[in-house]
Amino acid sequence: MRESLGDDQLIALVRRAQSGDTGAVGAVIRGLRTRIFRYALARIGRREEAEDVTQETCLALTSALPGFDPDTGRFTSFVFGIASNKVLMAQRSRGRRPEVPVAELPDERAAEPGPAELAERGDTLRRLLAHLDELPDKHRDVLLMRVVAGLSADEVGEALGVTAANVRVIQHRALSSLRSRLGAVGDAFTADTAEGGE
Amino acid sequence: MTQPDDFAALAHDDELLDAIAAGEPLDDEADAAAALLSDIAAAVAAERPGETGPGPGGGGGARKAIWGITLGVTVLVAAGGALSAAAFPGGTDATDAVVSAAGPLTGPLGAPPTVSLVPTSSTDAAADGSAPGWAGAQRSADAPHPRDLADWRALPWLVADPMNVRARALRHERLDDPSRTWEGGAPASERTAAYPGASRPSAQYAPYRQADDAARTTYRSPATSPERSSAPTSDRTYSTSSEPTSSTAPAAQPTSSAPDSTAPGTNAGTTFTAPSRPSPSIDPVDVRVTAQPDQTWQSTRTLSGWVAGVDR
Repeated sequence: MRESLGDDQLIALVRRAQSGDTGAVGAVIRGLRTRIFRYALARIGRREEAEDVTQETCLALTSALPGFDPDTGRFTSFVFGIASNKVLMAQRSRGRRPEVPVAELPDERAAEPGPAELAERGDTLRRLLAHLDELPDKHRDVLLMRVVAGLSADEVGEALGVTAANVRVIQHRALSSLRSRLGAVGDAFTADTAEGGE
Repeated sequence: MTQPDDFAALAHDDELLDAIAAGEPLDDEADAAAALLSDIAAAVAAERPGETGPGPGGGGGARKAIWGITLGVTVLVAAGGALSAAAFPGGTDATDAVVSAAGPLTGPLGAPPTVSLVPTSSTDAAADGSAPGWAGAQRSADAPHPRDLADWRALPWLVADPMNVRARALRHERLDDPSRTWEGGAPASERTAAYPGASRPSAQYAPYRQADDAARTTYRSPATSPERSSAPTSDRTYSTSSEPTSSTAPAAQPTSSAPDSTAPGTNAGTTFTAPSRPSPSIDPVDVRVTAQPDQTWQSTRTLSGWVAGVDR
Protein backbone atom coordinates (compact mmCIF):
# COMPACT_ATOMS: atom_id res chain seq x y z
CA MET A 1 0.00 0.00 0.00
CA ARG A 2 2.99 2.22 0.37
CA GLU A 3 3.93 4.09 -2.73
CA SER A 4 7.03 5.70 -1.49
CA LEU A 5 10.69 5.86 -1.88
CA GLY A 6 12.77 3.47 0.09
CA ASP A 7 14.40 4.86 3.17
CA ASP A 8 17.83 4.77 1.61
CA GLN A 9 16.63 6.47 -1.55
CA LEU A 10 14.82 9.06 0.46
CA ILE A 11 17.70 9.93 2.71
CA ALA A 12 20.01 10.13 -0.28
CA LEU A 13 17.61 12.57 -1.90
CA VAL A 14 17.33 14.54 1.28
CA ARG A 15 21.09 14.89 1.49
CA ARG A 16 21.24 16.03 -2.09
CA ALA A 17 18.44 18.49 -1.45
CA GLN A 18 20.24 19.83 1.57
CA SER A 19 23.33 20.36 -0.50
CA GLY A 20 21.40 22.56 -2.88
CA ASP A 21 20.16 20.13 -5.48
CA THR A 22 16.81 21.62 -6.30
CA GLY A 23 15.84 18.66 -8.39
CA ALA A 24 16.21 16.53 -5.33
CA VAL A 25 13.86 18.82 -3.43
CA GLY A 26 11.20 18.13 -6.01
CA ALA A 27 11.92 14.44 -5.92
CA VAL A 28 11.56 14.36 -2.15
CA ILE A 29 8.25 16.12 -2.37
CA ARG A 30 7.05 13.90 -5.19
CA GLY A 31 8.02 10.85 -3.24
CA LEU A 32 6.04 11.82 -0.20
CA ARG A 33 3.18 13.93 -1.39
CA THR A 34 0.70 11.20 -2.03
CA ARG A 35 1.36 9.64 1.34
CA ILE A 36 0.96 12.99 3.01
CA PHE A 37 -2.27 13.59 1.16
CA ARG A 38 -3.74 10.25 2.11
CA TYR A 39 -2.82 10.75 5.71
CA ALA A 40 -4.35 14.21 5.69
CA LEU A 41 -7.45 12.91 3.95
CA ALA A 42 -7.87 10.21 6.55
CA ARG A 43 -7.41 12.71 9.34
CA ILE A 44 -9.69 15.36 7.90
CA GLY A 45 -12.06 13.46 5.66
CA ARG A 46 -12.39 16.24 3.12
CA ARG A 47 -10.39 16.23 -0.04
CA GLU A 48 -10.08 19.99 -0.40
CA GLU A 49 -8.75 20.49 3.08
CA ALA A 50 -6.51 17.49 2.73
CA GLU A 51 -5.00 19.02 -0.37
CA ASP A 52 -4.49 22.26 1.48
CA VAL A 53 -2.79 20.44 4.30
CA THR A 54 -0.66 18.55 1.83
CA GLN A 55 0.43 21.76 0.24
CA GLU A 56 1.10 23.34 3.58
CA THR A 57 3.14 20.38 4.63
CA CYS A 58 5.13 20.36 1.42
CA LEU A 59 5.85 24.04 1.71
CA ALA A 60 6.85 23.73 5.32
CA LEU A 61 8.96 20.78 4.40
CA THR A 62 10.90 22.71 1.80
CA SER A 63 11.56 25.42 4.31
CA ALA A 64 12.53 23.01 7.03
CA LEU A 65 14.52 20.66 4.87
CA PRO A 66 17.85 22.38 5.35
CA GLY A 67 17.46 22.01 9.09
CA PHE A 68 16.72 18.33 9.11
CA ASP A 69 19.43 16.30 10.78
CA PRO A 70 19.38 12.67 9.64
CA ASP A 71 21.21 11.70 12.80
CA THR A 72 18.37 12.79 15.00
CA GLY A 73 15.56 10.81 13.46
CA ARG A 74 13.92 9.39 10.40
CA PHE A 75 12.93 11.70 7.65
CA THR A 76 9.46 10.22 7.39
CA SER A 77 8.92 10.97 11.05
CA PHE A 78 10.06 14.50 10.43
CA VAL A 79 7.63 14.84 7.53
CA PHE A 80 4.62 13.37 9.25
CA GLY A 81 5.33 15.35 12.37
CA ILE A 82 4.90 18.42 10.20
CA ALA A 83 1.82 16.94 8.56
CA SER A 84 0.24 16.16 11.90
CA ASN A 85 0.72 19.74 13.02
CA LYS A 86 -0.69 21.04 9.78
CA VAL A 87 -3.76 18.90 10.22
CA LEU A 88 -4.26 20.32 13.68
CA MET A 89 -3.85 23.83 12.38
CA ALA A 90 -6.35 23.17 9.63
CA GLN A 91 -8.84 21.76 12.08
CA ARG A 92 -8.44 24.73 14.38
CA SER A 93 -8.75 27.29 11.65
CA ARG A 94 -11.72 25.65 9.99
CA GLY A 95 -14.17 27.74 11.94
CA ARG A 96 -12.33 30.93 11.18
CA ARG A 97 -12.48 30.57 7.45
CA PRO A 98 -15.85 31.48 6.10
CA GLU A 99 -16.11 30.10 2.65
CA VAL A 100 -18.71 30.60 0.05
CA PRO A 101 -18.47 27.97 -2.59
CA VAL A 102 -19.47 29.02 -6.03
CA ALA A 103 -20.06 26.98 -9.04
CA GLU A 104 -17.02 25.46 -10.51
CA LEU A 105 -16.70 25.31 -14.20
CA PRO A 106 -15.32 22.00 -15.21
CA ASP A 107 -13.56 21.30 -18.39
CA GLU A 108 -14.53 18.69 -20.85
CA ARG A 109 -14.89 15.26 -19.41
CA ALA A 110 -11.75 14.33 -17.60
CA ALA A 111 -10.09 10.98 -17.45
CA GLU A 112 -10.21 11.15 -13.69
CA PRO A 113 -13.19 9.86 -11.76
CA GLY A 114 -16.29 11.88 -12.26
CA PRO A 115 -18.02 13.92 -9.60
CA ALA A 116 -20.48 11.18 -8.77
CA GLU A 117 -17.79 8.62 -8.26
CA LEU A 118 -15.67 10.98 -6.24
CA ALA A 119 -18.63 11.92 -4.10
CA GLU A 120 -19.45 8.31 -3.52
CA ARG A 121 -15.90 7.53 -2.61
CA GLY A 122 -15.81 10.48 -0.29
CA ASP A 123 -19.00 9.38 1.39
CA THR A 124 -17.70 5.89 1.87
CA LEU A 125 -14.49 7.16 3.39
CA ARG A 126 -16.25 9.54 5.71
CA ARG A 127 -18.59 6.78 6.80
CA LEU A 128 -15.63 4.62 7.66
CA LEU A 129 -13.76 7.40 9.39
CA ALA A 130 -16.81 8.23 11.47
CA HIS A 131 -16.15 5.06 13.41
CA LEU A 132 -12.94 6.65 14.64
CA ASP A 133 -14.60 9.83 15.79
CA GLU A 134 -14.97 8.70 19.36
CA LEU A 135 -11.30 8.02 19.74
CA PRO A 136 -9.05 10.64 21.29
CA ASP A 137 -7.35 12.62 18.61
CA LYS A 138 -3.95 11.23 19.45
CA HIS A 139 -5.25 7.70 19.18
CA ARG A 140 -6.74 8.42 15.78
CA ASP A 141 -3.52 10.06 14.71
CA VAL A 142 -1.48 7.07 15.74
CA LEU A 143 -3.75 4.59 13.99
CA LEU A 144 -3.88 6.58 10.80
CA MET A 145 -0.18 7.22 10.74
CA ARG A 146 0.29 3.51 11.09
CA VAL A 147 -2.17 2.20 8.53
CA VAL A 148 -2.55 5.09 6.11
CA ALA A 149 0.81 6.82 6.20
CA GLY A 150 2.48 3.47 6.63
CA LEU A 151 4.78 4.54 9.41
CA SER A 152 6.20 2.07 11.86
CA ALA A 153 5.58 2.45 15.56
CA ASP A 154 9.08 3.82 15.92
CA GLU A 155 8.49 6.37 13.17
CA VAL A 156 5.17 7.41 14.65
CA GLY A 157 6.86 7.87 18.00
CA GLU A 158 9.44 10.15 16.49
CA ALA A 159 6.82 12.08 14.59
CA LEU A 160 4.68 12.67 17.65
CA GLY A 161 7.45 13.03 20.16
CA VAL A 162 6.64 9.95 22.19
CA THR A 163 8.43 6.68 22.61
CA ALA A 164 7.74 3.73 20.39
CA ALA A 165 6.56 1.82 23.43
CA ASN A 166 4.09 4.55 24.12
CA VAL A 167 2.88 4.36 20.55
CA ARG A 168 2.29 0.64 20.92
CA VAL A 169 0.29 1.21 24.06
CA ILE A 170 -1.72 3.95 22.40
CA GLN A 171 -2.48 1.88 19.34
CA HIS A 172 -3.44 -1.08 21.48
CA ARG A 173 -5.80 1.02 23.54
CA ALA A 174 -7.24 2.57 20.42
CA LEU A 175 -7.84 -0.83 18.90
CA SER A 176 -9.34 -2.11 22.12
CA SER A 177 -11.69 0.83 22.21
CA LEU A 178 -12.67 0.24 18.62
CA ARG A 179 -13.23 -3.43 19.23
CA SER A 180 -15.50 -2.82 22.14
CA ARG A 181 -17.52 -0.25 20.26
CA LEU A 182 -17.61 -2.03 16.96
CA GLY A 183 -18.57 -5.18 18.75
CA ALA A 184 -21.81 -3.48 19.60
CA VAL A 185 -22.35 -2.24 16.11
CA GLY A 186 -20.47 -4.92 14.32
CA ASP A 187 -23.36 -6.05 12.23
CA ALA A 188 -24.22 -2.52 11.29
CA PHE A 189 -20.63 -1.81 10.41
CA THR A 190 -20.40 -4.92 8.29
CA ALA A 191 -23.58 -4.08 6.48
CA ASP A 192 -22.50 -0.49 6.13
CA THR A 193 -19.17 -1.27 4.55
CA ALA A 194 -20.65 -3.94 2.36
CA GLU A 195 -23.15 -1.45 1.09
CA GLY A 196 -20.46 1.16 0.58
CA GLY A 197 -18.38 -1.24 -1.36
CA GLU A 198 -21.07 -2.12 -3.81
CA MET B 1 -8.93 -13.34 21.22
CA THR B 2 -8.57 -11.78 24.59
CA GLN B 3 -6.73 -8.52 24.75
CA PRO B 4 -4.85 -8.31 28.01
CA ASP B 5 -2.81 -5.19 28.16
CA ASP B 6 0.42 -7.09 28.01
CA PHE B 7 3.31 -7.41 25.68
CA ALA B 8 1.71 -10.15 23.63
CA ALA B 9 -1.33 -8.06 22.92
CA LEU B 10 0.80 -5.05 22.15
CA ALA B 11 2.91 -7.06 19.78
CA HIS B 12 -0.15 -8.61 18.17
CA ASP B 13 -1.69 -5.26 17.51
CA ASP B 14 1.58 -3.89 16.23
CA GLU B 15 1.85 -6.71 13.74
CA LEU B 16 -1.76 -6.31 12.80
CA LEU B 17 -1.30 -2.65 11.99
CA ASP B 18 1.85 -3.40 10.04
CA ALA B 19 -0.07 -5.94 8.00
CA ILE B 20 -2.90 -3.53 7.33
CA ALA B 21 -0.47 -0.81 6.30
CA ALA B 22 1.20 -3.25 3.94
CA GLY B 23 -2.15 -4.08 2.39
CA GLU B 24 -2.03 -7.68 3.40
CA PRO B 25 -5.37 -9.46 3.45
CA LEU B 26 -6.84 -9.98 6.87
CA ASP B 27 -7.21 -13.49 8.13
CA ASP B 28 -10.52 -15.00 9.02
CA GLU B 29 -10.09 -14.20 12.66
CA ALA B 30 -9.67 -10.52 12.08
CA ASP B 31 -11.99 -8.48 14.22
CA ALA B 32 -14.16 -5.57 13.24
CA ALA B 33 -11.56 -3.01 14.26
CA ALA B 34 -9.01 -4.56 11.97
CA ALA B 35 -11.55 -4.76 9.19
CA LEU B 36 -12.44 -1.14 9.68
CA LEU B 37 -8.84 0.02 9.54
CA SER B 38 -8.21 -2.15 6.54
CA ASP B 39 -11.19 -0.65 4.78
CA ILE B 40 -10.03 2.85 5.65
CA ALA B 41 -6.56 2.13 4.36
CA ALA B 42 -7.97 0.70 1.17
CA ALA B 43 -10.36 3.60 0.68
CA VAL B 44 -7.65 6.16 1.20
CA ALA B 45 -5.24 4.29 -1.02
CA ALA B 46 -7.65 4.83 -3.88
CA GLU B 47 -7.29 8.57 -3.49
CA ARG B 48 -4.65 10.72 -5.00
CA PRO B 49 -4.09 14.41 -4.61
CA GLY B 50 -5.06 16.67 -7.39
CA GLU B 51 -8.01 14.76 -8.70
CA THR B 52 -10.91 16.77 -9.84
CA GLY B 53 -13.30 17.42 -7.07
CA PRO B 54 -17.00 17.50 -7.58
CA GLY B 55 -18.18 21.01 -8.00
CA PRO B 56 -21.61 22.42 -7.66
CA GLY B 57 -21.36 23.74 -11.15
CA GLY B 58 -20.97 20.31 -12.67
CA GLY B 59 -21.41 19.66 -16.32
CA GLY B 60 -19.54 20.94 -19.29
CA GLY B 61 -17.89 24.20 -19.91
CA ALA B 62 -15.07 25.83 -21.66
CA ARG B 63 -13.01 26.82 -18.70
CA LYS B 64 -10.00 24.96 -17.62
CA ALA B 65 -9.59 26.54 -14.27
CA ILE B 66 -11.25 28.56 -11.66
CA TRP B 67 -9.68 30.78 -9.15
CA GLY B 68 -11.53 31.90 -6.15
CA ILE B 69 -10.40 34.98 -4.45
CA THR B 70 -11.96 36.66 -1.50
CA LEU B 71 -13.23 40.12 -1.35
CA GLY B 72 -12.81 40.83 -4.93
CA VAL B 73 -9.20 41.69 -4.86
CA THR B 74 -7.18 40.86 -7.84
CA VAL B 75 -4.86 38.36 -9.26
CA LEU B 76 -1.65 38.42 -11.05
CA VAL B 77 -0.35 35.59 -13.06
CA ALA B 78 3.31 35.72 -13.58
CA ALA B 79 5.77 33.47 -15.23
CA GLY B 80 9.23 32.77 -13.97
CA GLY B 81 11.99 34.78 -15.45
CA ALA B 82 9.78 35.67 -18.33
CA LEU B 83 6.96 37.47 -16.76
CA SER B 84 3.52 37.66 -18.09
CA ALA B 85 0.95 39.39 -16.04
CA ALA B 86 -2.69 40.04 -15.83
CA ALA B 87 -4.19 42.38 -13.35
CA PHE B 88 -7.81 43.02 -12.62
CA PRO B 89 -9.96 45.22 -10.57
CA GLY B 90 -11.41 43.36 -7.67
CA GLY B 91 -13.75 45.91 -6.28
CA THR B 92 -15.64 48.98 -7.09
CA ASP B 93 -12.93 51.47 -6.56
CA ALA B 94 -9.35 51.84 -7.43
CA THR B 95 -8.14 50.87 -4.01
CA ASP B 96 -9.07 47.33 -4.75
CA ALA B 97 -7.39 47.40 -8.04
CA VAL B 98 -4.19 46.03 -6.72
CA VAL B 99 -2.84 42.78 -7.85
CA SER B 100 -2.68 40.55 -4.89
CA ALA B 101 -1.31 37.29 -6.02
CA ALA B 102 1.12 36.02 -8.51
CA GLY B 103 2.38 32.67 -9.41
CA PRO B 104 3.11 30.31 -12.19
CA LEU B 105 0.36 28.42 -13.84
CA THR B 106 1.14 25.76 -16.24
CA GLY B 107 -0.83 23.10 -17.91
CA PRO B 108 0.09 19.95 -19.69
CA LEU B 109 3.34 19.73 -21.48
CA GLY B 110 3.17 21.31 -24.83
CA ALA B 111 1.97 24.70 -25.73
CA PRO B 112 1.56 26.75 -22.60
CA PRO B 113 -2.05 27.57 -22.02
CA THR B 114 -3.34 31.02 -21.71
CA VAL B 115 -4.45 31.91 -18.27
CA SER B 116 -7.41 34.14 -18.24
CA LEU B 117 -9.07 35.79 -15.32
CA VAL B 118 -12.69 36.67 -15.28
CA PRO B 119 -15.01 37.95 -12.61
CA THR B 120 -17.29 35.49 -10.99
CA SER B 121 -20.28 37.43 -9.86
CA SER B 122 -22.06 35.27 -12.33
CA THR B 123 -20.17 32.23 -13.32
CA ASP B 124 -21.97 31.86 -16.58
CA ALA B 125 -21.38 35.44 -17.43
CA ALA B 126 -17.90 35.17 -16.10
CA ALA B 127 -17.17 32.41 -18.46
CA ASP B 128 -17.68 34.65 -21.41
CA GLY B 129 -16.55 37.82 -19.76
CA SER B 130 -19.92 39.45 -19.71
CA ALA B 131 -20.63 39.39 -16.01
CA PRO B 132 -22.68 42.40 -14.99
CA GLY B 133 -20.55 45.14 -13.69
CA TRP B 134 -17.40 43.47 -14.80
CA ALA B 135 -17.65 43.66 -18.50
CA GLY B 136 -14.28 44.00 -19.97
CA ALA B 137 -12.48 42.92 -16.87
CA GLN B 138 -11.34 39.68 -18.31
CA ARG B 139 -7.68 39.38 -19.07
CA SER B 140 -5.42 36.71 -20.26
CA ALA B 141 -1.79 35.99 -20.02
CA ASP B 142 0.47 33.30 -21.20
CA ALA B 143 1.06 30.73 -18.57
CA PRO B 144 4.68 29.99 -17.99
CA HIS B 145 6.25 27.13 -19.76
CA PRO B 146 6.96 24.16 -17.56
CA ARG B 147 10.65 24.66 -18.08
CA ASP B 148 10.38 27.85 -16.11
CA LEU B 149 9.30 25.87 -13.12
CA ALA B 150 12.27 23.60 -12.94
CA ASP B 151 13.99 25.57 -10.27
CA TRP B 152 11.67 25.95 -7.35
CA ARG B 153 13.73 28.77 -5.91
CA ALA B 154 13.37 30.75 -9.05
CA LEU B 155 9.64 30.42 -9.24
CA PRO B 156 7.73 33.64 -9.10
CA TRP B 157 5.63 34.69 -6.24
CA LEU B 158 2.12 34.25 -5.35
CA VAL B 159 2.25 37.31 -3.26
CA ALA B 160 0.05 40.01 -2.01
CA ASP B 161 1.16 43.24 -0.64
CA PRO B 162 4.85 43.43 -1.08
CA MET B 163 4.35 47.02 -0.06
CA ASN B 164 3.19 45.97 3.33
CA VAL B 165 -0.47 46.65 3.18
CA ARG B 166 -2.91 44.20 4.61
CA ALA B 167 -3.53 42.02 1.65
CA ARG B 168 -2.12 38.63 2.26
CA ALA B 169 -1.54 35.59 0.27
CA LEU B 170 1.08 33.03 -0.15
CA ARG B 171 2.51 31.40 -3.11
CA HIS B 172 2.06 27.70 -3.40
CA GLU B 173 3.88 25.86 -6.02
CA ARG B 174 3.15 22.34 -6.90
CA LEU B 175 6.62 21.35 -5.97
CA ASP B 176 5.97 17.72 -6.47
CA ASP B 177 5.50 17.92 -10.16
CA PRO B 178 6.28 21.32 -11.50
CA SER B 179 6.06 20.18 -15.05
CA ARG B 180 2.38 19.70 -14.77
CA THR B 181 0.58 21.51 -12.07
CA TRP B 182 0.58 24.31 -9.69
CA GLU B 183 -1.50 25.47 -6.80
CA GLY B 184 -1.76 28.72 -5.02
CA GLY B 185 -3.23 29.93 -1.82
CA ALA B 186 -2.84 29.56 1.84
CA PRO B 187 -4.98 29.36 4.91
CA ALA B 188 -5.06 32.40 7.07
CA SER B 189 -2.70 30.91 9.57
CA GLU B 190 0.05 30.92 7.02
CA ARG B 191 -0.73 33.96 5.00
CA THR B 192 0.23 36.43 7.66
CA ALA B 193 3.68 34.99 7.80
CA ALA B 194 4.31 35.45 4.17
CA TYR B 195 5.21 39.04 4.03
CA PRO B 196 8.01 41.19 5.11
CA GLY B 197 5.77 43.31 7.27
CA ALA B 198 4.06 40.41 8.94
CA SER B 199 4.03 40.20 12.68
CA ARG B 200 6.03 37.01 12.81
CA PRO B 201 8.91 35.71 10.82
CA SER B 202 8.16 34.39 7.43
CA ALA B 203 9.47 30.98 6.70
CA GLN B 204 8.01 31.18 3.27
CA TYR B 205 9.21 34.59 2.44
CA ALA B 206 12.83 34.33 3.37
CA PRO B 207 13.89 31.69 0.87
CA TYR B 208 12.46 33.74 -1.90
CA ARG B 209 13.65 37.08 -0.79
CA GLN B 210 16.34 37.03 -3.37
CA ALA B 211 14.05 35.89 -6.11
CA ASP B 212 13.55 37.95 -9.15
CA ASP B 213 12.11 41.15 -7.86
CA ALA B 214 10.09 41.62 -10.95
CA ALA B 215 8.17 38.51 -10.16
CA ARG B 216 6.76 39.85 -6.93
CA THR B 217 5.40 43.14 -7.87
CA THR B 218 1.94 44.42 -7.33
CA TYR B 219 0.04 45.92 -10.15
CA ARG B 220 -2.67 48.37 -10.39
CA SER B 221 -5.51 47.16 -12.43
CA PRO B 222 -5.44 48.73 -15.83
CA ALA B 223 -9.20 48.72 -15.96
CA THR B 224 -9.69 51.06 -13.04
CA SER B 225 -6.37 52.62 -12.50
CA PRO B 226 -6.26 56.38 -12.94
CA GLU B 227 -3.03 55.81 -14.76
CA ARG B 228 -4.54 53.43 -17.19
CA SER B 229 -4.15 55.80 -20.03
CA SER B 230 -0.98 57.39 -18.91
CA ALA B 231 2.59 56.37 -18.74
CA PRO B 232 3.64 53.59 -16.43
CA THR B 233 3.89 54.59 -12.82
CA SER B 234 7.13 52.88 -12.31
CA ASP B 235 9.97 51.72 -14.37
CA ARG B 236 8.55 48.23 -14.59
CA THR B 237 6.21 47.16 -17.27
CA TYR B 238 5.01 43.74 -18.05
CA SER B 239 3.14 42.35 -20.91
CA THR B 240 0.29 39.99 -21.12
CA SER B 241 -0.58 37.74 -23.90
CA SER B 242 -0.73 39.32 -27.25
CA GLU B 243 -4.37 38.36 -27.41
CA PRO B 244 -5.78 38.98 -23.99
CA THR B 245 -9.36 37.90 -24.56
CA SER B 246 -9.93 40.83 -26.76
CA SER B 247 -13.09 39.30 -28.10
CA THR B 248 -14.80 39.50 -24.75
CA ALA B 249 -13.20 42.49 -23.20
CA PRO B 250 -12.62 45.15 -25.75
CA ALA B 251 -13.95 47.96 -23.64
CA ALA B 252 -11.34 47.70 -20.98
CA GLN B 253 -8.27 47.02 -22.93
CA PRO B 254 -5.54 48.72 -21.02
CA THR B 255 -3.33 51.16 -22.69
CA SER B 256 -0.81 49.45 -24.76
CA SER B 257 1.24 52.45 -25.59
CA ALA B 258 4.37 51.04 -24.08
CA PRO B 259 4.53 47.36 -24.75
CA ASP B 260 7.69 45.99 -23.40
CA SER B 261 8.45 43.91 -26.36
CA THR B 262 12.07 43.81 -25.45
CA ALA B 263 11.54 42.15 -22.12
CA PRO B 264 12.81 38.62 -22.32
CA GLY B 265 10.13 36.07 -22.65
CA THR B 266 7.24 38.44 -22.76
CA ASN B 267 4.90 39.12 -25.57
CA ALA B 268 4.35 42.49 -26.96
CA GLY B 269 0.84 43.50 -26.15
CA THR B 270 -1.15 44.96 -23.36
CA THR B 271 1.06 46.59 -20.82
CA PHE B 272 0.29 46.63 -17.16
CA THR B 273 2.16 48.89 -14.89
CA ALA B 274 3.43 48.47 -11.42
CA PRO B 275 1.72 50.80 -8.98
CA SER B 276 3.49 53.53 -7.21
CA ARG B 277 1.91 52.36 -3.98
CA PRO B 278 -1.29 50.49 -3.33
CA SER B 279 -3.87 51.69 -0.94
CA PRO B 280 -3.45 50.39 2.59
CA SER B 281 -7.16 49.80 2.76
CA ILE B 282 -7.04 46.71 0.66
CA ASP B 283 -8.62 43.71 2.26
CA PRO B 284 -7.01 40.35 2.79
CA VAL B 285 -7.10 38.05 -0.10
CA ASP B 286 -7.31 34.34 -0.18
CA VAL B 287 -6.26 32.59 -3.31
CA ARG B 288 -6.42 28.99 -4.14
CA VAL B 289 -5.60 27.69 -7.54
CA THR B 290 -5.55 24.10 -8.52
CA ALA B 291 -4.22 23.19 -11.86
CA GLN B 292 -5.19 19.72 -12.78
CA PRO B 293 -2.79 17.87 -14.97
CA ASP B 294 -3.75 17.10 -18.49
CA GLN B 295 -7.46 17.45 -18.25
CA THR B 296 -8.89 19.98 -15.94
CA TRP B 297 -7.91 23.01 -14.03
CA GLN B 298 -10.19 24.02 -11.32
CA SER B 299 -10.27 25.29 -7.84
CA THR B 300 -11.74 23.17 -5.18
CA ARG B 301 -12.61 26.09 -2.98
CA THR B 302 -13.91 29.22 -4.46
CA LEU B 303 -14.67 32.29 -2.48
CA SER B 304 -16.31 35.44 -3.58
CA GLY B 305 -14.60 37.49 -6.13
CA TRP B 306 -13.06 36.11 -9.18
CA VAL B 307 -12.83 33.22 -11.47
CA ALA B 308 -9.95 32.49 -13.69
CA GLY B 309 -10.00 30.12 -16.54
CA VAL B 310 -7.32 28.61 -18.62
CA ASP B 311 -7.95 28.52 -22.27
CA ARG B 312 -6.33 25.92 -24.36
